[in-house]
Amino acid sequence: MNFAAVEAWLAERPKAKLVAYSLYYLAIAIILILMYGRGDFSTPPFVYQEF
Amino acid sequence: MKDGSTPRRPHLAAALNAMAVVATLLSVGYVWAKNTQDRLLHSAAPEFCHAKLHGVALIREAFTRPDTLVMFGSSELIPDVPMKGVDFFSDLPTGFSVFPVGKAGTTALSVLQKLGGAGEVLTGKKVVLSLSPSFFQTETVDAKYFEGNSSKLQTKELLWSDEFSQGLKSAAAKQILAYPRAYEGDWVLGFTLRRVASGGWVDRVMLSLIEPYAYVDRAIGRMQDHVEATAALLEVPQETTKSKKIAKGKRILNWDELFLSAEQSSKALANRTKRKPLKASRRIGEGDSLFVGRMKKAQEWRDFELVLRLIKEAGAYPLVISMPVHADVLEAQGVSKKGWMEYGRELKALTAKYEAPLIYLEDHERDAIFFVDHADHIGSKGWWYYNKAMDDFFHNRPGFLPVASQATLLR
Repeated sequence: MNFAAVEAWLAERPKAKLVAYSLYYLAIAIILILMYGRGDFSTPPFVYQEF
Repeated sequence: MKDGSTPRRPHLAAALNAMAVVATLLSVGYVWAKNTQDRLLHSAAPEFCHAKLHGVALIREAFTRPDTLVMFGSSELIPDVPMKGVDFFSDLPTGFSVFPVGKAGTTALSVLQKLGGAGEVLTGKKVVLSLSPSFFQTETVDAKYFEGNSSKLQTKELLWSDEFSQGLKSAAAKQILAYPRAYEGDWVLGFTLRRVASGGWVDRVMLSLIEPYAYVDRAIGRMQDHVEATAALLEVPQETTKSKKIAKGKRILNWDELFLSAEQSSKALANRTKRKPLKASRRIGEGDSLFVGRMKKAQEWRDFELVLRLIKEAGAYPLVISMPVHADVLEAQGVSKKGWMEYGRELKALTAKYEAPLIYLEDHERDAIFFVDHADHIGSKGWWYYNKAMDDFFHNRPGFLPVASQATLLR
């Protein structure tokens, strides 16, 4: 992909540039949520002997 | 930005756009998660998943529902025996269901965390505490029991809550600090525990400094908790969920008939699982001083007192149910009735101090079918007594009228 051409194309279209940047940041935020969104509520394991 | 021109700060504008979308998505997700928890909470009642036991969302949701009675216990909640409370009340026969919280080894300090995590929603709510006498028969709590039931999020909610006095939080923090595995890998929790336990002015200043960070840390934990809780509820098989919705409404239960049924089930279970005869290691009475000495020094009393104190400070209404001791087991260890009666005396004195109604089922110390084994695991007959007590307690029947909270006295 020719990034220079993409940059030049975006430079001529400010609204498209804003949308592209917005999607870029949104993707970062979603990846972070997927990575850290689920907590770990597990405890240290133990074996209960009374059963 | 002028039409057709480049924004002056394109990255800032784009980041703000992305944050707005994320905030909208999180808000919609939060509302959906809360609705799911409201709709499917009863399906989680018989579950023992981490989200239920070590999170705060589901316990708080259970406390906010007028048709749910939250019960804290330990391993007696696990064996599948007929008439087990959670199953008995699953179709709300008298207008409420039971939401048991706890698993094997859930001692009073773990219950303290779970109640502390519920915070302000405890006010005016009823709560049932099921006690295992065996926890009070050793001087210290098995570290594995507490660590295996401990929750970092619940502890943080307890320590940062405005609902409880500094004295209570400091006492709780000192107890929890004795179990490093319960807070290892979480510097915010470790720091908070040490500062709250110390309670000096320097500690309070340091706590003030990290308060904003701790707030964000807890907010993230709560969001994760909602995700985990909702995922756990959605994992419950659909047919189980549907079955919980049936026959909602009040019926008049024939407790005498149910007692006969419970007794039959217990006898059948006892016949199937013949217990091995116990070997006497001492003559009866020889083990009294050792038993009483250990029992009176038991850490579980201190932790249980913190639980009663927290409930009182929160303005909640407890019902304490203690299963009987095993007379045959104690006699084999050389303990006489005079010795084990000290447990009942201590229990009655402590619950009276906090005006907590107590049901101590001491008449069943020699009842061979009350339990399913020689540990504190009650059978159908035992559950009959529990269920009857919980039904009376929920419906404010004579003897179970809530005592007006004197929370302010202890602050």
